[in-house]
Amino acid sequence: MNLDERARQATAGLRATVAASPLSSPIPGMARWEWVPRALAAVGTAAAIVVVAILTIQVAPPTPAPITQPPDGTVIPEFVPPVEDSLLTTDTTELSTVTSLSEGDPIAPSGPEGTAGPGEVPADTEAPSLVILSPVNGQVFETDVVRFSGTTEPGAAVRAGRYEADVAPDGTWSIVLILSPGSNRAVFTATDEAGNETTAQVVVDYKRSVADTTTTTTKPKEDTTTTTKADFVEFSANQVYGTCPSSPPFDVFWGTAQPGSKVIVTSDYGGGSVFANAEGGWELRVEFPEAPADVFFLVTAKSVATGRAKSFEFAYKP
Amino acid sequence: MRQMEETQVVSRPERFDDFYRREFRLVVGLAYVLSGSRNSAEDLAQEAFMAAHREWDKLQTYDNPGAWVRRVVANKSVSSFRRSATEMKALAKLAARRIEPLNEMEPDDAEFWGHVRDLPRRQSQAIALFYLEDRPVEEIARILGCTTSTAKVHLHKGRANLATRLGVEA
Repeated sequence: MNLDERARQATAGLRATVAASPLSSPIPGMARWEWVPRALAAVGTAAAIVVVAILTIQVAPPTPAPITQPPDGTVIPEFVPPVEDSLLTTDTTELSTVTSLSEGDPIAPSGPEGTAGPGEVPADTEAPSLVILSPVNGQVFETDVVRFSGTTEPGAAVRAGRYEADVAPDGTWSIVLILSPGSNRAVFTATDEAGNETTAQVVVDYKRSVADTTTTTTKPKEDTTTTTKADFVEFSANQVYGTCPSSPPFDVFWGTAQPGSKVIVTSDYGGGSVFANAEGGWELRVEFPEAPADVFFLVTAKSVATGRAKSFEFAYKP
Repeated sequence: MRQMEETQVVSRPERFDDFYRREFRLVVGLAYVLSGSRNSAEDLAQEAFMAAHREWDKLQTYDNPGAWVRRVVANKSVSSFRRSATEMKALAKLAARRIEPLNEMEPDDAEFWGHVRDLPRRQSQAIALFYLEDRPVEEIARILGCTTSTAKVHLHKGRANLATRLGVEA
């Protein structure tokens, strides 16, 4: 047996072992606190079920009295439905031959062409509604990942090209799409159960933020009279190097955060903290003295004020 | 608005749940091979997926978020010190949660993967990705964060070393 055959055997064995193992991780990569909203939702659903059950019980008819007649074992003659006198007629011209339909036989409308006959359910030829609630036409984004949402007819499917949106039973839908830089036309199609379609579209703009398009920092404006501590500055973090050949290895991280707020940078091999300046800028040089060579590890920059974080990879490459 | 330059929305990011369902067992397998621990393999994979979940806004736009998760697992499984620390942590969790560790491998398979683990770190990672996941060299290089030619060297040396240790032809 050569190496490849031995490896194939060992691989098959390992795959079978893992497949047969009772993996216990109950949550798809989520921390416990992230399950709280789900748990609350589940509690809400359970409560709704209880309410429906109570209402059902309240409107349910009373339990019927036990059947005492006829006694068990009585032979019932063939049932003959009663005929109302008013339906009896001797005019045979109204009678027609009744022919059984076989499977696959076409059924023609019994009313005027294109309309439903009396007693028939009219065919659903009405296109489903489709409304895009968010984003609105012309909206500009600085992020390329955008959630689109709206409403449609309950039971209809909504698609954006080949991507299918999540549609709730009440017809509200949403889908996350990635925008290209510039103007983007998102075209949505709602299709109801009868196959009727409605199309709606929205045009949005994705403008890359300065941090995404350049790695050079710009000097803060001299005139800061319009910037106050109350101004909200979105947290952002950037990495300068990614790898470092010198010892001890280091990297520089920078970005924005609320003025005066603390930003901490952590990893398995080193970290530090810094306060954002009055303009909301921050920069931190972090050394990783214990970092192993040629191994990428995660470095996370986190805003203490907002809890937002961003991770990077770094490796010491001597 | 630049009507003439409009472009269609290009793609849709994958949902984390779908990604997890598709990849989790495969990544557990990789963690099992590289750590050699029935107790901590699942924990290693879980940690990597938790990191991926935190970064999902970014990762979902990657061509291959699975490579990112595998790199985290490969890096977390390398050091024997960290392996034993993870093992201790996993054992504590197992005791607390009263759950089963992964099943034990057949002795022949365990011996093979034991030899893979005994190789130099980069070689063992390359070999595991090559055999266990049928990864082409380019993807192995991407996961390990090195060039394709470096990955080829790791793979070549790893195969030669492994064949010697197992006493089989390369």
